[in-house]
Amino acid sequence: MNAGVQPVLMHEYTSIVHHADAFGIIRKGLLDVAVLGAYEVAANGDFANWKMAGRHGGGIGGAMDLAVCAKRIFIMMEHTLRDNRPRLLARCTLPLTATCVVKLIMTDLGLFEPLGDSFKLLEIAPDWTVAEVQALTGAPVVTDGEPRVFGLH
Amino acid sequence: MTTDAKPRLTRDLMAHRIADEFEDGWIANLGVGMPTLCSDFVPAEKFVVLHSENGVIGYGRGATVEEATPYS
Repeated sequence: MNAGVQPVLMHEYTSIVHHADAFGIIRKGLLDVAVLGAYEVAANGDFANWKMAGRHGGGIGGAMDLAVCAKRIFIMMEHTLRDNRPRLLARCTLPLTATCVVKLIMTDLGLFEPLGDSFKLLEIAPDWTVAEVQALTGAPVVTDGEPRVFGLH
Repeated sequence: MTTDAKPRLTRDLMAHRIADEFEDGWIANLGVGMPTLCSDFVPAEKFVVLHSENGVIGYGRGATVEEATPYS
């Protein structure tokens, strides 16, 4: 089982350890990366992924430990809410999970890096323009010339 | 602006792109939800140890219904 309680395959080297030991690995800072979902990410690297107004759900779980202890945080999320309101913002509005930790954001519109007061668009979804992405983003979107079109290596 | 009609990236594409960022020898934790999909796309040439809070260290891709072993 993975963290989402979905079945996963085991390799010959897979280990099953105690829950507390799994958190020991996190808190000792041994993780090179944690990939997390998020409701909101801010241009300064803050993110919020545990509490949303009007939505019931679990508590914050291990997200805070991961966010603070992992060497880098990648976020994978939808770029907007269903009504197209942005989730990439200048500042988060929801209760934060951690501050200034996000290194890379993969959304369904592209790959972004938070720069402090703006998001750098590294790769853009095919057929989308920077202006269209900007219109759905709550902070300035900057590019280094024309952004690369999203592609897999 | 008629952006609604435009197709966005699929979850699998997003997971694949993130997994491509992993480097050989990394220990990676995949959070609940979309990030768990990344385990299906870790490049074969890279040795990446996947870590889960519940204590499974070094797991592989998601199991299909046929591959999953039920509790007994």
